[in-house]
Amino acid sequence: MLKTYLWMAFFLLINWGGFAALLARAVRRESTKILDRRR
Amino acid sequence: MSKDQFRSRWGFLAAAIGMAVGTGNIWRFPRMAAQYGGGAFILAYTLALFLWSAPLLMAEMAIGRKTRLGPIGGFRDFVGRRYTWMGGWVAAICLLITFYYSVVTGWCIKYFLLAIKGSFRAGVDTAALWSEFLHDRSQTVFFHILAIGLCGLIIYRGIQKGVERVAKLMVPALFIFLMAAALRAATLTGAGQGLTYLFVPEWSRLLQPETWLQAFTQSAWSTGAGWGLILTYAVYTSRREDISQNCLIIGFGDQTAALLAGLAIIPTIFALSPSLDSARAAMAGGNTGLTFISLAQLFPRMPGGMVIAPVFFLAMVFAAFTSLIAMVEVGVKTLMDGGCPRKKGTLLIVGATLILGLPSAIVPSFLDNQDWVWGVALLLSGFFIIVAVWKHGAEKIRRELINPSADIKMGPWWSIIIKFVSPVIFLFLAGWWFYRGIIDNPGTWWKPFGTFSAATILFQWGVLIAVLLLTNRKLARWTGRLPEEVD
Repeated sequence: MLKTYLWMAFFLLINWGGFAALLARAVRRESTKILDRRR
Repeated sequence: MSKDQFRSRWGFLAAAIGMAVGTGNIWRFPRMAAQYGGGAFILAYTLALFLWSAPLLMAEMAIGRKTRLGPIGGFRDFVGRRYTWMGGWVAAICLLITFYYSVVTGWCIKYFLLAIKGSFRAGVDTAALWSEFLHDRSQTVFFHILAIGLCGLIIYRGIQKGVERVAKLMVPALFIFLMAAALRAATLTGAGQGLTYLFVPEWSRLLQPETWLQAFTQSAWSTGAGWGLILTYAVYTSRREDISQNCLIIGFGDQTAALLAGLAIIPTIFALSPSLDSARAAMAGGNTGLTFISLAQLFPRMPGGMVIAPVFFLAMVFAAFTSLIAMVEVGVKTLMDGGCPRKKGTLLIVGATLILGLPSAIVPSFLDNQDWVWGVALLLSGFFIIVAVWKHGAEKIRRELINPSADIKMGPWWSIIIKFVSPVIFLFLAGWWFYRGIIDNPGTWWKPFGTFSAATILFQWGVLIAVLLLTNRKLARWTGRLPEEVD
């Protein structure tokens, strides 16, 4: 089962990790835009 | 800000992810992954995102954001008047799919209601239940009307008050519901075998062309690349909206939902089926067989299944509904480009879907035929987007439209992929589909009125292309006037 869990972690990391990282980057960019507008 | 524009980037992303995540993520991806080598399939599927879906989504979004018109006007202004018919093809295919997708959404609503009522009890013959429903015309027609009617109400209210508001509610809820179902499934005794089927790569499968072809078609259909959907939604974004990052978010969001659905379905099938053979039979039972027969049968055997069943089918409803909204919006935007106000356009498209969806609601084999013919046509729609890129100039699009407002800049590889790699993929996928249409139906492939023949594809495509070519000039003249100018 260890092999199964390792592969599961690998694929979830690529897909969900990729999705989360992209969303986090978009949030950071939008926040910067809002801060810039306030300045 | 115009009223017909997304209020925020998050509203656009919610609507776009809702557009991409449809029933295919839930009832097709898990089956394909388990049947075509688990992790090997997921690898090929992830690669497809980068070689077909994401580049096409970016090109579509560039067309919509620049021209501020739906597919028909978009092609006219982006490529040239002579190519307007290609935009007509993209819009027409989307509408032709809408006609039967409304029926499919109706099925999901019906099964959600059955789950709420607790109809999936131990001992209930779910195959008979499904067959009875599918052949009860009054029911399939009623739920088809309900689905398109509700969708029409949302579109009627416009982008901000309708589409955006509903997407912001349904899309996060859809992810939460899938997570709940996945958690329940993954903690079942015996779920491990399903997880092994889903994730451990069977490397030899990568040597079989069928694995690649299924992975690429799954990605193409699932992300909505080539449908004209993201092209239309992009019209309602700011002119500085980030194309590359948003399209990657949509692609990864779509895959995230697919994997959640895989985690919810495959372990359930393997943990609760009486034998390994019956689990495999459930996988081979097709999309509707897996969902409406096998899963409906297994929910009563699951501890907490009476709660998980409505949650799962509500996720199906939300997935189907947010995709249906995007499809109807393509039709409405196309009419708006021709000078029709939104409200009148909505009534016309909803009315057309209601009437032209009836054959699919009444005769199941008609729906199968339409899915067969217009599902493959989406690959040709994708190819027409590639033609648009060729004619406008891939490097020009990358430098002038994608990169100036991008957080993640696209390198020259983007142009190379969309100019050279994607067309080869199109030829490979379309060629394979026709080849299968012939060898799988040796006695009937040449029949133009057969349900699954290669000839029925060519016949129906031919009629549509002939009509579009004959009306090309009229289409080019008709589209592109803004409703404000007309009213």
